[in-house]
Order: sequence, then C-alpha cells, then structure tokens
Amino acid sequence: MSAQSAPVTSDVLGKDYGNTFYRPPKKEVDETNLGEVRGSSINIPTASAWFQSAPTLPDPKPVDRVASKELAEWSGCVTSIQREGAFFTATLNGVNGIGVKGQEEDARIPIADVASWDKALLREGNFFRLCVIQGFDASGDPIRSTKVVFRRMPAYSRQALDLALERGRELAERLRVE
Amino acid sequence: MWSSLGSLPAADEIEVTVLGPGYGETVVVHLGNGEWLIVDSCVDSSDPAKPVAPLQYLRSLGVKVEQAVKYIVVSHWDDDHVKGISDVVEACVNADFICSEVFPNKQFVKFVEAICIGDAMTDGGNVKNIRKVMQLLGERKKAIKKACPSRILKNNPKIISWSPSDLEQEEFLKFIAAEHPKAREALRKAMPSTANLTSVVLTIEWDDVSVLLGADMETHSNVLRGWGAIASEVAITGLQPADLVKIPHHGSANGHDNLMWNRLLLNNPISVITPFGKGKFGSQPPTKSDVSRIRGQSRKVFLTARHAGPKLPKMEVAVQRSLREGSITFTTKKLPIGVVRHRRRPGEQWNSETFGAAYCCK
Repeated sequence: MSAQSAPVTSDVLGKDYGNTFYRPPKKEVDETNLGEVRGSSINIPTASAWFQSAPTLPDPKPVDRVASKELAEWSGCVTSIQREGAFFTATLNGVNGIGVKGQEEDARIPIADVASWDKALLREGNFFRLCVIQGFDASGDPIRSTKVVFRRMPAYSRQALDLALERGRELAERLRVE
Repeated sequence: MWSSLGSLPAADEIEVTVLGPGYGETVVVHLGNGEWLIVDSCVDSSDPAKPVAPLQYLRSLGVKVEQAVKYIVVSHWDDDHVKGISDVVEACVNADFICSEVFPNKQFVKFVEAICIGDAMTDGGNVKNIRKVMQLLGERKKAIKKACPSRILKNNPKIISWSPSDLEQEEFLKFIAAEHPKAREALRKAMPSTANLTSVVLTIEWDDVSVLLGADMETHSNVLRGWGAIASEVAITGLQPADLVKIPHHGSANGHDNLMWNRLLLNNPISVITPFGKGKFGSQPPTKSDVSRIRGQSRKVFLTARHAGPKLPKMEVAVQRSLREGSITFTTKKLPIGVVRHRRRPGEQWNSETFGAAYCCK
C-alpha cells in the first residue's frame, strides 16, 4: 500500500460528533538537499503526491451512538414570556411530521426546555425550532424527547437600517393627517 | 355560516355587528343609507382560505365594499385587532382611514420599515400588514383622520372619538423607541403590542339611540388615563348615553370601570363580548366572574365565540405523548367564528341575532 492509501489505523480516525473522518498520514520530507533546492530555480510541485489524488475513505467504523429520528418539527416564534418564569407562549408552524406539516398552532412551552446557552435568546419575537425526537437507548428501549433550539439569526446591519429609515421618512412625508 | 346571514338592512335600519373568531375582533356598522363603517379586522382561521371577516361578512350580505364602506377605524396596534386590515384598506378604496395619530407618525413609520428588514426570514407578521396600509394610504394621497378625545369625525350620525390622549400617544412612542431595531442586533419579528390605553374608543349617535365601541380601553389608577380620562371628557362635552356596548378589552376586569357604566351608558344596556381565546397563562378573558359581572349590569349579554381549550391536532400518538409528557400544551388557532348582529329601525327595539359560534348568555 502506498502513501496515497495509507493503512487506516485507529490513530488516523478521528471522531467528530459521531462521524468518522480521514486524517492523512504525515509526509516524511527528505531535507538533505533542501538548501540547494531553495537556492535554485527548480520548480518543485507544491502539492505532495498523496494530496493530488482523492484519499480513499475507510469504511466507517460502527460508532457508539443512539440512532434517532425526528417525529415532528415546528418553526416557532416567541410571543410572550410568563412573568413567573415557568412558561413561554409561541406561535408554531408545522415543518415536518404527520398532521403537523403546514399547521399553525399556539403553544405554551416550559422555559425549562430551553438550554442554558439559549436562555439569553428567549425574547419576544425570537425564533426557535421545536422537535420531538425518538431514539433508542443502549438496551434498545425507545426514548422520546422534545427539544427547543433557538435560531441564531443574522443581525440588522447599519446600512440596511439607514436605508429603512430613509424609506420610512419618505413614506411618512407622503402621509397626510387631518 | 356566511351563506345564512340574510340580506342587507333597509336604508333607515341601523346595524351593529360584532364578529369574533375567539381570538380577534371586528365591528361592522351600518350608519344608514347604505354607508358602512368597519372597526378593526380579524380573519376566520377555521376556514382554510382565511377570509378577512369584515369583508366576508359584508360581501355575504351583498354590500359592494368598494363604494359602500365609508370609514375604516384601527383602534390600536394589537395582533387581535389588525389581522387582515391591509386587505380591508385595499378593498375599500373610498373609505376614510381613522386611527390614532401615532400610526402616521414619522417615528412609527420608520420603526415599521426597520422591523420589516429581512421579512423573508422573519415573516414580518402584522407589522408587514400595517406597513402595507401605510403604503396604500401614501399612494392614495387621501388624508388620514386622526382620532383624539372629543373629536367629531362625522355628523349624522355623529361619530365621536374619545381617545387616545396626547399622554398615551407619547407613551406609545416611547415604547416604539425602546423597541427600535439596532445595528448588530439579531433579526426578530416585531410583536404588535401596545398599551391598550392607546385604543380609539368611539360612540355613534343616531337621533334616538347611541352605541359605544369600547375597543381594548382599560381602567387606570390615574384618573387622567384610561376610562377616567374619557369620563372627564364626557363630563365636559356631553354625550348621548349608549344603549348597546361592545364591551372593552374582552370583558376583562381591567377593562371594567364604573365610570364607563355610569357616564357613557344607559342603565342595563345590551353588551357584546369578544373573548380573547388564546390568552396568556390562564387569564383568558372573559372569565366566569367577568361574564357574571357584565350580566349583572346588562339586560342582554352576547359572546361571539367560546374559549379555545387546549387541543392537540391529529398527529402521531408518540408525538402527542411527548408533548404531554413535556408539559407542552397546544391551543388550536382554528376557532369557529361567531357573529352577533343588532339591527334597529327608528323608534323600534334592537333585533338581536347570532350566527356561527356566537351565543346569548342572558
């Protein structure tokens, strides 16, 4: 087996959220004539041979993770937050799921379902996804859970705001009040 | 329901019709001689086409809204009062538009434009609706009539606005300033939400009868605000007490003020309540005690719809169980709409009718 398809051992397999990925082996460089080469006009290819051809991905190894699927998904928007801090209300638009897709609902959701790193995003008008997920634990028993994930929306830009304010000014000038 | 509403009122027959789908309300008034007034707007969510209720109602009667609707009033900028209002303005090309002075205010229009940035992602909701109204009014170059205390907007019949005061408008603009999007802040959907004290309260006085449309006006500890301020205005300018009232703020306790009952209404008027079906955390007005309080002061009480209870739509049993186990409750938006109609010929009594989900509780 050549360097292009180096044997895959456990040290070249990394794990990233349950996905296997290929890490190429380090190329050993012969530095004997390097000084000479740097001083000359010899054109040395910048890509090593094993980079030029697509690496062969190894067969994925079975990874210890729970298989899960989404039974239902909604896109939500926070409409109010309970003063006592136990629940928030939202409008939901069904995205996926039997009897869910395309349906509009109002919902009351426990604030405890919001992850601590998302708590700052719990604000009226902000968007989130609500999912019902079914999985199986290590012993094969079914597990269901609901998940609230707040969306990171792009920000208002100064330029877009300035343009909007200009449009607003022009529109307000066209309105007559008596 | 829409096909069973009957025919047009006679030219001398006045009509006050309150439509409510359990969340949202609109009032349609026949002023006489084929002239109509629409106050606020809502949609019939139980119909997949989501028709705009006031337009659907009038068209069902055979009214040509393009010519016959002479006035459109937006009482305030709350979600349950402005759904479909841009469709109403678009269709009723001959109507005068009446609202509080804050809507055409430069600061508010700028806010609306700013919050609509990225509306493909945020939907824009009812802010987009108001934006379209402003654009239509800007194109038509027809003056907006501002509603303020003791202003006679029309004579014969006399339509008078009793609010909002300058103080309330100032408070609203402060709220808008605080909510204005800032650079580097994440896009969000504006939630139409104003203090109900900015509502436009109207009375309509014919020769022998008067009605009060209470919008979402509330009581306030400061007598210079809310119903206290209106009662003070009435004491100065005078008013023909009303025999029929669209109960303010869905019959809630904070919409109740004895000053309204004593100074703006006749004894034991007819009351019409529009429930706030989706409510916030168990405070959905009218509660049983609200209805009982209103029954004690009225000769007849009507509600446009029943409350929406928690209800899960048809979905996988596993999903329903997960939601239940996670204490997530759904309230369906598809509430049936109800119509409470009152017609009256000169010198006669009110003729009450209910359609759809509406019912009489006294």
